[in-house]
Amino acid sequence: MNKGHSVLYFMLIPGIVLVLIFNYLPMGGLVLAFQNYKPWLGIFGSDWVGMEHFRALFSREDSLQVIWNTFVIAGMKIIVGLVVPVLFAILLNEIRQMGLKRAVQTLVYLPHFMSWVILGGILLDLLSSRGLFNDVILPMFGIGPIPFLTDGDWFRFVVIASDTWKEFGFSTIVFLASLAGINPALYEAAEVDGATRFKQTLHITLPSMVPIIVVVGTLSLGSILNAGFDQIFNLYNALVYDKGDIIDTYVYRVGILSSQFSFASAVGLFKSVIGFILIVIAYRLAYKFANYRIF
Amino acid sequence: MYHKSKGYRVFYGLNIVFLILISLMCIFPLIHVLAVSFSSASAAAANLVTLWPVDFTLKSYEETLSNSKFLDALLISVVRVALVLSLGMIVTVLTAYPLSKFNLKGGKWLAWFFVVTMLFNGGLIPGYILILELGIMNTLWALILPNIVNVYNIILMLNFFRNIPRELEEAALIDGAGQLVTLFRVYLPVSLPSIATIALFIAVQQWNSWFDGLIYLSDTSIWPLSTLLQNLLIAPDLTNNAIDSETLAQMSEKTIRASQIFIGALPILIVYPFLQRFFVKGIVLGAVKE
Amino acid sequence: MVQKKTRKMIATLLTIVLALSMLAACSSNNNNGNANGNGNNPANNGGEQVQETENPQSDGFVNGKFEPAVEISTFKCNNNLQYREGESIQDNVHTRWAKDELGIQIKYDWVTSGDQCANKIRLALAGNQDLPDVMVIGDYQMLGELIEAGKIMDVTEAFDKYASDQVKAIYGQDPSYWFSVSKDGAKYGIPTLNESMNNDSVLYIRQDWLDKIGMPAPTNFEELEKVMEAMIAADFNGDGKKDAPLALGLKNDLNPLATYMTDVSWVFGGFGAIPGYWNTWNDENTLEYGSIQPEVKEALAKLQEWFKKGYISQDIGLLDERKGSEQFTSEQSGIIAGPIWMYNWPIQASLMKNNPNAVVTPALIPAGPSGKVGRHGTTIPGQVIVFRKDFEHMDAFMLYLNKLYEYNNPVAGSPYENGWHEGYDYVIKDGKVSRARADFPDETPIDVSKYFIMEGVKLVDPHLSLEIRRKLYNGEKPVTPQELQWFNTATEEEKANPKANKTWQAVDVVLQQKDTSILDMYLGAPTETMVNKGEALRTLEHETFLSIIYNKAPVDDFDKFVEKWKASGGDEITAEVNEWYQSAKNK
Repeated sequence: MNKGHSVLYFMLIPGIVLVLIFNYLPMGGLVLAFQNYKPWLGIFGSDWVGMEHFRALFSREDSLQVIWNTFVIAGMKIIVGLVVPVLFAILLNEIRQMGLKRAVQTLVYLPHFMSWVILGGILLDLLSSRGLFNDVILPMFGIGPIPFLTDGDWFRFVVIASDTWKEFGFSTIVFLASLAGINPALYEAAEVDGATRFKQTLHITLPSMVPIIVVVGTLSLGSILNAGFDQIFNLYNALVYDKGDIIDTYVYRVGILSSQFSFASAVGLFKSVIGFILIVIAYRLAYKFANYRIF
Repeated sequence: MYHKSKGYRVFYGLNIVFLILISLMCIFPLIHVLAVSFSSASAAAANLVTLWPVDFTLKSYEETLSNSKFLDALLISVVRVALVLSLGMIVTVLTAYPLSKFNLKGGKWLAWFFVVTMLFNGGLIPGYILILELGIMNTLWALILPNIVNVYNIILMLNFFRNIPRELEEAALIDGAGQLVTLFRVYLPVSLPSIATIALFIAVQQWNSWFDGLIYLSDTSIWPLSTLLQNLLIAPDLTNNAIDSETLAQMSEKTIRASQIFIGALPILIVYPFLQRFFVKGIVLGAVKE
Repeated sequence: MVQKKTRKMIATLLTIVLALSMLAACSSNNNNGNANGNGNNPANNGGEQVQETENPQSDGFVNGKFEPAVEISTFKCNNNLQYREGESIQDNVHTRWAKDELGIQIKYDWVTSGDQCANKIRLALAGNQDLPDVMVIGDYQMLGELIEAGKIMDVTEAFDKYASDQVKAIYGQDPSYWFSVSKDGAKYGIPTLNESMNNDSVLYIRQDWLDKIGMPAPTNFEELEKVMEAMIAADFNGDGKKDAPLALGLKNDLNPLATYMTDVSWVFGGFGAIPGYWNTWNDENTLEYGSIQPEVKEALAKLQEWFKKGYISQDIGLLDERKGSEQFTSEQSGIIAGPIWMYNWPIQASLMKNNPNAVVTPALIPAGPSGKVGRHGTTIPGQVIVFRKDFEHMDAFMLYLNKLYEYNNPVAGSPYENGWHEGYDYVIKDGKVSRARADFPDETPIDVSKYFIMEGVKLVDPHLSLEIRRKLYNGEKPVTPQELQWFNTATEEEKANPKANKTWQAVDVVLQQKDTSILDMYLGAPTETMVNKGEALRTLEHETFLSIIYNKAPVDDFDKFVEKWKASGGDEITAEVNEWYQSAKNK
């Protein structure tokens, strides 16, 4: 068994070399976070300021609120963005008309290809006070206008729902691939035992998907402080700063007044560290409780 | 058989209705963009177009398709995707395979070595200096080489590999096949759904990325389509600028933008239906039985 | 056997890696040729190759042009320009003209999008790359950085030596033109000059609607309110809804309350202060911040009232200038404030095309309750042209600038009398010169000024075109070539009846209220406190003001805002701004 292992290490060489060059080498730039970097002075000529930029991130009166907003929005996106595609994959997997199945599969993945600049404009048209929802749909149910984009709580809801709508079709793909990998013999055996489809789903389908769900879920924790700049930037306004302002939009607004490479680096590093800690925890938990090594 | 039961048939019918409704919801923005692209510029500028063209015209398509810049960029995008896809697929498989072995010594740490790069990156400036030092600034390689390794895809692939029954590998090894042969003769044929998935991920991602083109390519004639399109969506810097109606009118040509978005997305949209045949159930079983 | 195969595979792999690194190395060689800022790169020149010379000398100046040609490198932050077939940014009617007429080869080192412009310069600095010879900078913060980095040249001497009398006269009109580039007695660049009042607002009103309700254009807020009330009641678009008659759009991260289209600054101006603007509100020697003036509170109260009454849409906070103006072009609203050029686009290009019966008239800005009229003004000095520290050909660039100024306002008999280039900015139709859109190939005139190094800047006396258009509107016959050029933009019908040209009318209207424009007088880079605390202050301001307008917060929150603004850095900023003002004024 072990004699083939040297080959295995050789296989890793191209990947390792590329990662060393294109990922690890530039990581030297993380020191920017502790400097007052000025491009013309370079990394070696710029002043060191220690933790000042990290302090600046927390010094604003509503810093914690902004970080909390980011955390809530990104966290909800991760959860909903995991549950919906899994359910959708299972439902879609039931369809036996191949043509219909493929058509649905293709249609739901379309929104992924629209940029938020475009979708933002469309959402604005749909959700404004004169939009389709407030003007046509809600009155049919006798509901008054809803301030979708000018009320903080509604805004969060819109952000999470629209992100799910845009991405669930694309996220479904990976789960469909894992469904395609389930050994049909398992279902045949269950059939013989007289299990209903629901039971088969519960005892065969879902358990087979758990590893990939855990993996996707864990990896997405890395972006727990990335709540989606493009989306929020295109939808938000001063009225929803309280619930909808996130770290990245805040950094952007700081950047309008002054290019702060160092500040942006510090914020990025902070987000990475938090993401990294969460991934480590999830990795440990999966190993401990499910005895599953994610990678 | 379960699908003969009455309860299941009701569920099946409802399921179909539900899925069709969801699909309609998802196709709606594309229809809107399409409708705008076929409408007159004046109607689009007043936001009068919803799901059906107003004052139907093909003008925006004529303009878009006669623009040589647009077609060149389309070709460059294709080259970019093809190169990253082929190189990236090789590296992904070669990296994921060893890491999928639980008994690879140090495998866990090697995996972390890769995962760390998903989280920590040096940012814009060191990346730019690296590309400059490597001498690939203003060449297509600046968009290709840094994108060959995608750790997320590697992790997915290694998990797919782990789902393949161990018996297959053991049988092959007993037959005297080496690891490489096992990988290419045994693993890959049964991994078509996962390979198709990852190929799609790579293609879509490369097709859509625009920022690196903007930063690394000073020569607009080698810009990929995504960079070109993004540049059309972003308003020029209006601070201290002498704005005038001409600038604004051109920035706001909604119909031409819509046609470009649509034509720009079309090639990547048709990749998926094409890949779908690899998702068909039963491939795994068939391969095992062979 | 197995091992053999394995070895073969490894060999293949290594070959791939090697091949890749060689490819990288190859392209690196290619690139070294490109990156060399001063060397000519035939591939990029789009055909016309310049003779390579070791050191182009300025004394090669013969017959009004440089021989051999001098290369000036620059960059462009906009890739959205229109070109005629076969032309490109590197090779177009203007670059050929510069080369043939002046012996100046314009070369674009890079092109990027507007929002990445400053970043690209910073990256070049970080990578220790050569900067282009000439850079047009719109971002004063970037300008400050370049000065601090010591990368750009003091042009005081070169300007004095090479500028033509015409250029000197124009730049001598107002000392404030030079404020943005002056530091420690040096001038670090040449400001470009926007056309005067280019963005100052007039009120555009649906005249056909006014006629139907039988009211004249409103002259003050009270009359305006009556008009708006009547417009709501009349429901002119017949959709059965209470559409907001006044189109506003307040989504702008810089200053939502004083902007180009969908402007609202005139409501504040009606009380006497413009939010976000630094001006001498109370004392002519001290700059103060507009947003903290008590007048702003009254204006906010007025807007809140209008919001409650439905005069302005519930969506104004979500709409930027372009999206906001759709309210007007889609006939929901009948009133919008915007600049003199707005009649062209989007009003004529969109609204009129969709509804040929619509009639829109530019009207005076109405007066506030105390009779005050005010609106935000256009700062004339705009983007700044700066030069690489060791750029050797200021003589060549100044020749370029002089000539552009000269030919943009040509004398009679000049080869540029009719415009820059036939088929681009003018055409000859039936033996007559025309600049009307319909007479151009594909109905697409090309504004040659977009191809200038300082893209889109008109490079004429900033006050000239307003005066010309006012004259034309008032029926005076065009005499000078420049007047004729403006005259030729009109249709035959308008030439016979100049009062029908709405853009000229808008010019006339905006000039009638010339003295009501209020300027932002701070032209420096962001000060230290602005850099550190500006974002928090601005966020607080936008949040407070919009909440008040939306009736989500009481008007009295304004007082809390002022206190907080002053305490959390505003006072320091005021001090820094005035320090700058005193030093700039005393030059």
